[in-house]
Amino acid sequence: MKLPNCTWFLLVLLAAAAPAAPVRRLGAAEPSNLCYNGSFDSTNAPLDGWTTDYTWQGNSHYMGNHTRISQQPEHAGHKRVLHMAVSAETKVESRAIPIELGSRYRCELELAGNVDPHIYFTGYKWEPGVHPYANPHLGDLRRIYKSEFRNHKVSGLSGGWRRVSFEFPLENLSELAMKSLKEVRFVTVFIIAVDGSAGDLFVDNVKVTKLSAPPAAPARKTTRKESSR
Amino acid sequence: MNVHALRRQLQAAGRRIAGWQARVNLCLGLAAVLLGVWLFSLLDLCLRYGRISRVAVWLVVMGLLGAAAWWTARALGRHFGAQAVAAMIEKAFPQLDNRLINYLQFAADPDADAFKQAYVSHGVPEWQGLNLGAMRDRRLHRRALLALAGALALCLLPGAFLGQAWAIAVWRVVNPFTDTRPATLTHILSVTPGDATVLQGSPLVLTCTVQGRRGHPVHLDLDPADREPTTYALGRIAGSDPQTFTYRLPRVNTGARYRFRAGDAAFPAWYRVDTRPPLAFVGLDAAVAPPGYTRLKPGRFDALTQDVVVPQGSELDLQARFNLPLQALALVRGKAEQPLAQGEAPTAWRGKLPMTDETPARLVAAAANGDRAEQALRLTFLPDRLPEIQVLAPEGRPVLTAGAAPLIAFTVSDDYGLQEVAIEQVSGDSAAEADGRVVQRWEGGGAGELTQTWTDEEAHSRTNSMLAYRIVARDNCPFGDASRAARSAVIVFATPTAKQVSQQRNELEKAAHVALAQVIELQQRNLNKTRALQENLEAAPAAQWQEAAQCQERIRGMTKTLLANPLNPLGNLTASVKKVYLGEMADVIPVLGGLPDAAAAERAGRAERAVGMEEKILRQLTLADVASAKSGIQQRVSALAGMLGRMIREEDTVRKQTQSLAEQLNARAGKPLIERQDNLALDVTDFVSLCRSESSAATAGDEKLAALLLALADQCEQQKVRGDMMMASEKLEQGPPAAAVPHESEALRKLQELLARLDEIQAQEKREQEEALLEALEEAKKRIAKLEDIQRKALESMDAVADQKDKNNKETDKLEEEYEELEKNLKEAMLQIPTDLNVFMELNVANDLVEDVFTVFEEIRQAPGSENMGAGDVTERALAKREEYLAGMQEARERIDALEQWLADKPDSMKITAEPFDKEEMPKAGMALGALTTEAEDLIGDLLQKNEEMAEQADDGAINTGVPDTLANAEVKEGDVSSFAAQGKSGNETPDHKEQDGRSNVGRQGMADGETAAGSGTISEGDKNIEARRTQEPTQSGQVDVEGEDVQTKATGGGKLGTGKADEAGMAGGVERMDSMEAGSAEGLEALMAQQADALYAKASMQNVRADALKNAAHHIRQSADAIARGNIAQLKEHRKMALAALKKAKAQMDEAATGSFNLEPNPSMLDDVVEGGPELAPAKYRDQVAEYYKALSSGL
Repeated sequence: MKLPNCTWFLLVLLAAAAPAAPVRRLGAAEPSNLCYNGSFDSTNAPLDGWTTDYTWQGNSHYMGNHTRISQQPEHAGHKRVLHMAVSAETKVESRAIPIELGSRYRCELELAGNVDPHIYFTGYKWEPGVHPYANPHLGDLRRIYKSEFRNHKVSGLSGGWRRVSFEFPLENLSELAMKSLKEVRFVTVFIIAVDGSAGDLFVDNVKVTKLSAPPAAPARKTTRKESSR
Repeated sequence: MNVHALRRQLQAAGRRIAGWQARVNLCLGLAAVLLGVWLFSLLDLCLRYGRISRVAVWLVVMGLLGAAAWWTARALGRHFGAQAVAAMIEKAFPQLDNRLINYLQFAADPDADAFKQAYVSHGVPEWQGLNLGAMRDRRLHRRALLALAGALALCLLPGAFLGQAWAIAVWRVVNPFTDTRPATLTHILSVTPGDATVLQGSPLVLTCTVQGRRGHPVHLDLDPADREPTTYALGRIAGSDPQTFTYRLPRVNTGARYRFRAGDAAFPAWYRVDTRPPLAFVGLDAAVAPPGYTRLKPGRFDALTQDVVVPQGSELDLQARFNLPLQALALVRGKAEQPLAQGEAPTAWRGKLPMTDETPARLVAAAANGDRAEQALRLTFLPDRLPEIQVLAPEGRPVLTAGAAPLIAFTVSDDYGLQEVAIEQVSGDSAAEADGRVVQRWEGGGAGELTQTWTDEEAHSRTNSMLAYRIVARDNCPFGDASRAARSAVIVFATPTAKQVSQQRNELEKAAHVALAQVIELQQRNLNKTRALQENLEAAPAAQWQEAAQCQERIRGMTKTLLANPLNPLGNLTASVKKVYLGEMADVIPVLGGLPDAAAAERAGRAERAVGMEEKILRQLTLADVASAKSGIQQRVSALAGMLGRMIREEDTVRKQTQSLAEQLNARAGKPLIERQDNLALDVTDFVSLCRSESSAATAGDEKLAALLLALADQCEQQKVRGDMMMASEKLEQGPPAAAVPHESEALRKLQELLARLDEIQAQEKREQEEALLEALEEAKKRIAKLEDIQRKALESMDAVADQKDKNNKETDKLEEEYEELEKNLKEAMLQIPTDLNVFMELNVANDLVEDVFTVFEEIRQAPGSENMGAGDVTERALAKREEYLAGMQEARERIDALEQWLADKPDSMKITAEPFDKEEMPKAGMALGALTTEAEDLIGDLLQKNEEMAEQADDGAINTGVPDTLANAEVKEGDVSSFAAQGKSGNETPDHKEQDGRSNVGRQGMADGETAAGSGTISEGDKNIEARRTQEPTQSGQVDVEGEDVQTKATGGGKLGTGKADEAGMAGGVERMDSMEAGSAEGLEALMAQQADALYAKASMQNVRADALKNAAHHIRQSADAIARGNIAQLKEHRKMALAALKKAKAQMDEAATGSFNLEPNPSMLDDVVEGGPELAPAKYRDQVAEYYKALSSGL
């Protein structure tokens, strides 16, 4: 039986491509996004995985929190974004992300709007008495850690979408920080808008990745500076 | 021969042949049976069949026999036909050919042909002459017989060798129902106890007697019910005589079976041992019916497990139950034995017994089988104790001034009620049991306690130098005889003359003064010596330090004697000297003694401490020396005033009695009245004499007072008070009483004038004292202000030097040294002054706890450069009083929820000073407090790096502007308003070094004055320099579970970090003790009483009147208030009783002071609570620890 010419050509092409395929897998590994529904386009629900309703906390300030947060189909060229209509202190958190102790994590996201939010990782452990389960509700977790916030306060967003990133934990952890950190089992991306007048905040493309190298710097003990006298 | 005859003959021959076969079968069958018997018998010799085996074997033998019989019968019963017999015969006799059969067959055919007929007719001529006997198989028969004979021989042959054993074996095989035992060499003759039932827990001896072949072993197989069977080897048979083997079971607790095995003794039998329980008490109920007069309730006890409390005279009803029927039960007490009666069943017995003494009792039970059981009764006998007499006053050996009446305050208590209490006058040397003259009697009426203060109103001869009394108390116990009574020790009052009293007092005072001077001198010398040693610290020999320590011990001992001196020679400084005695005087001894053993680096510090303490001791003693002189004078003046007052009262009484008589017709004054007036006249003489003698004594200390006393004596003489009294006495004796009244009135008026003059002088003295005190306080204030000014100026100078560009190091160093010295002195001085405390209000407290406080850590990157901020970066913010907060402080609205908060990244550089509200401006009801949540979030981070100088500069002032709750967000910082919401976070800065109020959860260690609201939590690193952490309210309950590591928790005296109430021990809080002030409440009343007792104590102390009992009374009143709060009735009763006793004693103490009476013996109540320190006795390395321990104990007193 005689094969057509095109068939021979395809076979040669396949043979030539075979060794190239694994090389491409190894060399171009894309870090996976640990943040569920970071692009706010889940088919389950637009804000699936994000905690916006804090009525379970019983805190009067956050009873209407969920009414101030929604998905907006489009904003400044981005489709399907999270919208926070800030009229009082408003916060939103991603689904709890299990972390590997000793590793560092980076969060990248895009922001737009006219309020200055604080964004940081919040560390949780299980609430005493709760049996562990997958994708826990935040009400079953106890907050015990906050990553550095001072540099995560984002200002001047009025110029359009802005990409920001921050990492967790600090490079040189103190003994006290280490002691607290080792209890942490989950982190969330915590976005809160507090001060400033009422306004809008838009969030899109939230991405959390595990950095390859865990922090290796020695622990630093906080000491008080001696008097200059 | 016809055919029929032939046939008959052939049939006969057939029967003969069958008989031959049957005989052979029989022989062989029997042989088989015999062989079976032989074989089984042989096996029995070896195996010794049991019953079942024997039956089985027998069945086999019987089976063989049956088979043999059947086989024989079968052969015998076999029927051969004529032709068959003919065939057998033709076979045995070949010469017959076939003729016999042919003949029979042809003859049977009736239609035979001629040939056949001819053949038949020819007959069988050979038949006749045949010897049929030859047909028998003789060989077979012989073999069968041989087999039978062989089997028989085989059966008999072992008998020749084994004898009876073989016969027994054969017999056991053929007759399985016989009990014949197999023949053995060894026999078990007997076994004891065989089957038996023994007492559970008792030992048991198992014995067997055997006889048999030497060397055969004897074993015991024991199979207890509760464990695996065991075999014990008991030994071997030593000879042919019967021999006994035993085995002892030490305790038989469960049933068991056992058997002995001896050599080849066959079939050793199993025996059973069963146990029976010992006789025991199943239940023992005791019902106690106390006698009626005790008013105690009947009690029921489980006498097997409980102590039976039996008040004296009770009836004890015992009901005993046993596990076995009893034959007898008796209660044995000593040698007496009282039987109890059987109840409803033989296992239930009961009896009633009177319990009048505490002889131990036991129940002895005897069962029908001889078992006995004993049970000791756990009786707690409560005897009706004799009444307890407590003499509250006088203490020691009182010396009464002239005319002072003996006063006895006492409390008599009895456990079940008093019948009678009496005071008897006795002679001073009377025996303990001797009866005296009853001078006063009280009916007890069954009361549990009687407290009385009795004064002897009878006039006693002035020549009596001693009056002695005894208190006799009888209770309502019906069991004692007439002599059953409690008697107190003899209470002796010395009644010397006024002159003698004055002399004795002078002697005592002189001795005390000399002792005090000695102590001061000794302390001065030792201080100088210690200073010398301190200067030469390295070269000073250890022995000299020890000498210094010993000298301090001596000083302490002498001080103790002084403190116990009944004349209270230290005056109103007694309390402060006592404090020094308990504190520095005890502390300095181990410090000095342990100094040579201390590390070189620590010696300088220890020496400095020792010198400091010695200086303080010397200062206090010197002050006490001054107080001592004043004390003596004031006590004398008090005594004179008291004497004058008593004379006025008595003269007034005499006058009233005289007037009363004058109104009666023909009434005359009796001898007692006349003697009373005479005695008063003599008292006036004593008073004058006393005034003169006290005047001369007071000259050295207070000339003004000496002159006054002299003037009083002169006035008394010039106005002829004594003369008036003598005239009155004469008039009473001579005529109608009305004539005496003017003289008595005149004498009374003159006495009152004298008293008024004396009071005026005393009041002036007091005013002068108070003025001096105020002046001293003002001076102290000025000094403090001056110190503050110096400090401020020094700091300004240092800042000025620091600001110079060209820094002169020398100048800076010098200034620093000066400043350090100054700061040290200031610290000493300032620590004594609780500045700012006045601004804190009395907080309300809520026993409301935040059950769960958890910590959130926040990462912080400190703002670059902020760690280098200095004191110059501190900005100040002064705030005026904000009246708008006052309204909010009174009410707590709905709780405000917390918002998100973060930590600061720069240290606090703001110093806030706020104008505080005056205490009067604060809400009367205190700060309003809202409810707390059940859990709270604390926020912490790494401490910011901070310049210490700046940190001190930025310390905020004390604030008493507060709000019940506030909206907290943004950064965690200290502000200008304190919140009571317990929402604050620990943050990442150390707290300011100040007293802080408000409610808080656990945070960073520091000084706080407010309430801790956390039920648990972690205290983080904070201000290390904390003197104390205390709550205002010592009565607050609760306890915090502190989880922090290496944190100091210095709070004491109540509050949630140390439960309980602090009255004496620990710290009572920053302000005065907070008691309930609710009008009409029991607690409020107690608090009021305690305050009044305190106030009276303070007043008495100012007058140099010893009234330690008042302080004790206040203490006990407070304790009883606490008992009310706790609902502890037993404690309440006890504390009230003690408070009452203390008040009685206080009254007696003050009465003594008023009359100038005193004790000759040391005051026992002054230092009786002191825990004598033992640090000097401890090894050197532990002295500090032991000293701290004793210090803590003593400070609690």
